[in-house]
Order: sequence, then structure tokens, then C-alpha cells
Amino acid sequence: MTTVIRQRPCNSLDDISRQLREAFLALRQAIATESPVVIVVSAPDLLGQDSLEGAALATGLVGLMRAATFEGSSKGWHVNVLAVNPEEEPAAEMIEIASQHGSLKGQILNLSSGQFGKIVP
Amino acid sequence: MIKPCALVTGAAGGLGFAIARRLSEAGYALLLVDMKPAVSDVAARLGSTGARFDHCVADLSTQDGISAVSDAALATGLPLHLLVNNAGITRDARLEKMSSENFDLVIEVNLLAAMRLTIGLSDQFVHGSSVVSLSSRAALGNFGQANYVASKSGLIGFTRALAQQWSPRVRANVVSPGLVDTPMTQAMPDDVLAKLVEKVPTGRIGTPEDVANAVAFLASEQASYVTGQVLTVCGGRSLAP
Repeated sequence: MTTVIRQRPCNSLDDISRQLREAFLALRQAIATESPVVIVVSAPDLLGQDSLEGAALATGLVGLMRAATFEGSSKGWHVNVLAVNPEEEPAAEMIEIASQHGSLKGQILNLSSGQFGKIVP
Repeated sequence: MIKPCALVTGAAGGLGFAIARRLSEAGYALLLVDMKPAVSDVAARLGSTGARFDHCVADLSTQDGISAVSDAALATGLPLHLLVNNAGITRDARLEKMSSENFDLVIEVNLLAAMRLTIGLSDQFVHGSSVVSLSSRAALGNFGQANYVASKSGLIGFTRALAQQWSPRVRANVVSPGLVDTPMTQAMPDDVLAKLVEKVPTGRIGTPEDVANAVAFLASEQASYVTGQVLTVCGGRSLAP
């Protein structure tokens, strides 16, 4: 069973703190049950194209994914990020790929439009 | 001639000291901020160079602390040209063992306090000023540092948004140090440190001055066309296998 963590609207520093903590706890729980994790973030926020808070949250979530992969890829932990257009849900097939494809670990899969030629953090 | 003011947080630490010294050489008057009272000693040590140093003891995780720093910056009577978000802590543990309290604390100090201070000072930045925030090569991932990695990665996103929202008045950039000679690395067993240095393509550990030079560059006129970027100062470690 895949654990899907979704970035929600973020309008304050408290929101950042709350959502990062919830993601951390969900990630820790998923690892304990050997469940793959997919974190869904806003693609424009990865580029800092929306709010200060949203950008800090989205890249913070990417950091969580990378830390978990660094620590647990050899143990079989499977954590990836899907970057999507605002208000969009990733297709079920993409969640399946991000959660189950064997060598796909610690990656940002960009499913959004308009990100060509930009540096992803 | 009125000197521009640079505000450096975490100034009581080794990296903060090196940054403050380098910026004083570049002609800044400095406001040194730390929650440790020892920051006054730093100001005294650097003050012997003849540059102007003020200091402020403040806890940046509180609104009172932000207000104290904001007031101190105004009290210098100098235009605020540079903020260096350098304050940071670690509370390392494997992900399964990390407490939510230590997760929250590192996010608060490393990420939220920097954001709170930057936003709190927004009215004081003059045209052409700059924010330089200290992230870490660890933002790309590191063992036992989920809290630290998330906080330092978040700082990069914040900077990217800041760069776009505050341009052209204020530039915002990040310096991401790799393995640097600090009390933390000095406390490592020699063989452990040697193995880490072996992985650095340039073949040596970084110095606080390497990091301070990067901060000074990004703050300078020479970097006036650079904003929203991450300058990784890691001897090439972020590329090596």
C-alpha cells in the first residue's frame, strides 16, 4: 500500500511547520511498515514561482524525500516526488510508477507544463 | 562616507566569525546577531580591526527576538545592504529514531527563523541590497539528518521565491557549504574525517574562509546579475560518486 503525501495550500510559517511535521511522521510510519512513499508537490513552488511559504514547503518536502532515500535506499525504502501543476492530481499510473519502479528512488518526476529550461532544486 | 550595514546571524560560531571578518574587509559595518551572549566577544575581537561592529543577543524563534534585531538594525542608523542567514543547528538521528520534537526544532531554527527575520526586515532593505542564506550540500541528502536536510532544502525554495518577489530591489542567493573545518568536523575521529576528505575531488577540507568568500561574492556588486541561485562550496563533492 503506497503512502501518498500531498502538499496542501500553505499561507503561513505555521503551515510550513505543520505540513513538514505531518510529512515526517507519515514518512516514518511508512518506513516502519515498508510501504513506498510518493510525495506530491506543486511544480511552480519548486521554482519559487508562487508564495514564499509554498516554495519553502515544496523544497522542504523534496529534502525529506532525499534524506529518506540517502538513508534507506539500501534497505529498500522507496520514496519519490511527483511535481504537478497546481490543483492537479497525478494520474494513478504515475503514482504506481513512482512507488514501484525498482531503480526509481529519490527522484523528482516533473509532470507539469511550462518547466522547460528551468533549474529544479 | 556612510558604510553599508551587513547583518549576520549565528555570528558567535566559527563560520559566522569568518563571514563577519570577510565582510568587514569588504567595507561593511556589521550587526552581529546570536542567541549566545558570546557574540559580544566576537564583536570585540573583530572590532580591533577598526571596522564598526554592533551586536544583538536575540532568539530568532520568537517575535520578540525578531523585533529586537529589527530595532538594533534601525539603531545603527546605517542602510541595510546585506542579511546573512547563517544561524543553524543540528539534531541528528536515524529517521526511525528521530523525535518529532527534534524535527520541529531544527525546522524552526534553520528555516522558519530565517524566513521570519528576512520578512521582518523587508522594509529596511535598501535598493541593491542582498540576502544570502547558508544552506548545505546536505540539502541534496544526508544520512541521519532528515530534519536538517528538509530545513536546508526549504531555505533554497524560500530563496528562489524571494529572488523573484523582491527583485529588483533585493537579490537573494544561497551558499551551500560541503565538508568544512568547523568544531563539528574537528570532533570527528581522524580516520573518519580522512575518509570523508578522500571523497572531495579537490582533495582537502573546506575552510570557513572558503565559505565567507562565497558569501562576500554573492553580496558584492560583482554578483549584481545573480539572484535566486545556489553556490555550492564543496570542493566538487556534490558531483563525485
